[in-house]
Amino acid sequence: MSDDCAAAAPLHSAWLDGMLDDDGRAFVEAHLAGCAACRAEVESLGRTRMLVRNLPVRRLPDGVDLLPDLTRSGAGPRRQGPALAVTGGRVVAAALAVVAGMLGGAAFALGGGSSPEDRLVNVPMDLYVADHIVHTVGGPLSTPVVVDGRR
Amino acid sequence: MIGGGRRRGRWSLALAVGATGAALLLASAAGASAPGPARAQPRPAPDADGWRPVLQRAWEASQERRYTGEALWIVWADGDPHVALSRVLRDRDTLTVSSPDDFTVRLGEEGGDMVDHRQGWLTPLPPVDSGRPDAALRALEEKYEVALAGEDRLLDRPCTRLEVRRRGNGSLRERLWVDDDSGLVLRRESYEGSRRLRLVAYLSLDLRPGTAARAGIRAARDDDGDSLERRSRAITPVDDRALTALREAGWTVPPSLPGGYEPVGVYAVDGSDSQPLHLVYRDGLYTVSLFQQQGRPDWASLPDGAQPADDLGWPAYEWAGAVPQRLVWEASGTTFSLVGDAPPREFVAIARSLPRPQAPTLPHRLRRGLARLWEWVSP
Repeated sequence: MSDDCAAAAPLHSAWLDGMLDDDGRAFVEAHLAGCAACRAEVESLGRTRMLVRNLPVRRLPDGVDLLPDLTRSGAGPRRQGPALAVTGGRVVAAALAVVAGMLGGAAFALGGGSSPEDRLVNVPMDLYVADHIVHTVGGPLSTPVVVDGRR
Repeated sequence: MIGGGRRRGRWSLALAVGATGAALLLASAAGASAPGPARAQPRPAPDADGWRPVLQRAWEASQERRYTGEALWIVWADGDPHVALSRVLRDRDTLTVSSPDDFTVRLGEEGGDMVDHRQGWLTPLPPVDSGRPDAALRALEEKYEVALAGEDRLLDRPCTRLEVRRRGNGSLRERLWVDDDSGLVLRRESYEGSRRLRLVAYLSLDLRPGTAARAGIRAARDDDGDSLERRSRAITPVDDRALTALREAGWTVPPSLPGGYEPVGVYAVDGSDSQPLHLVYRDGLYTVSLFQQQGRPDWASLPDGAQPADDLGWPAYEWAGAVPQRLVWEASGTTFSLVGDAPPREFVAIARSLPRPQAPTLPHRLRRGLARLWEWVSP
């Protein structure tokens, strides 16, 4: 990496966001025009940011308060406090969401099939066939039933 | 087979049971008291109702005649013919159908029994539901048109040929050859449209069975009967009052089934581990039995040959090509078993009219799943 590359690399992200002043923008663009490696890096950085921006936004469930300290009256503007509260709340909410999702998924999976209170019964099909036959042989057109269970 | 049960279906059993029906049809004509050809009754006049006295005599013959014979059975399942033979003896009070080695069916005035020589058990059967011929013929007429189709000769005996067709579309369902002398049905062919389903025909018929013939056909059971285990099963008819109570308790008791099948009987069966409810429906020609058990089916208990059924649209098991047809499925914690000789398309339509598995609603499923989770984690 050349000295110019080392100087331009920290500015790539800001250049993509249009946050550089005229001198900075001119410097980065002049360097990118002559440096294929930095162009590739900027392109890769741009694609990554585009993907991140296109991720679906997940809304938190109603009632989940991530910023309790901020919304309470009288809360002092402590330097680190709000940021930590937001981060911690998100973690808790995410954890709750994960647990709820796992529970729901497990319940859905386990809730299928037969009811646990249903008992198992044998199916005496051969006897059923015998019982059926008795009712088929009485009349003038009673079918002479052939019984065969094989295939 | 799905479970560990032994394969029991046998063509011999098929023969035996089929022969039972055939015997009932044919026995009357072949009895020892049967008149000889010289005394044959006059052929019915070929008018529109000429078929009625022919079938009336067939019914009487099935109840009264004595005979012995050998019956041929062919069943076309999935295009493949299955062939079997059985020996039939209609004696004074009993009808015995035997097939080599496997099954013997005996029916009499007090019922009868089914013997499985391979399994070594004997199952008492309830009394034969003979009904009344006039009622049976009326039921037949409601759905089908019966017509004299000509004269023929089978086993060197003059016969009257009948055809039974579905009212409305006129599709052929049955061809019957009725012995002019005895009244027995000597041959029966079943169709569904242009498709052949079954054929039952006597290859030989002795209307005056001698002692040797009787001893020969009985030997199969007498030789093994002493060592057989008798299965006791109580089958109790359900009256209207009890039926109402059963409906209110959630049992499925359809007032009729698709295709014109009307109820002819309901029975409570005292089974080994459950008490199935047995409903019998007829359309005048075919019979369908619906069995219900409270509980989920233990699929491992199904006899050999069970395989997933594709026609219903929900999970079920069938025995492809088996006679009679049979289906098993579960719906709402109840096991439904359908057995019948209805044409296949009608049989499937009947099954589709009955309760089917319902996917639980999301809240119900979640609630049930959480309950199961709680059962696991709670001490």
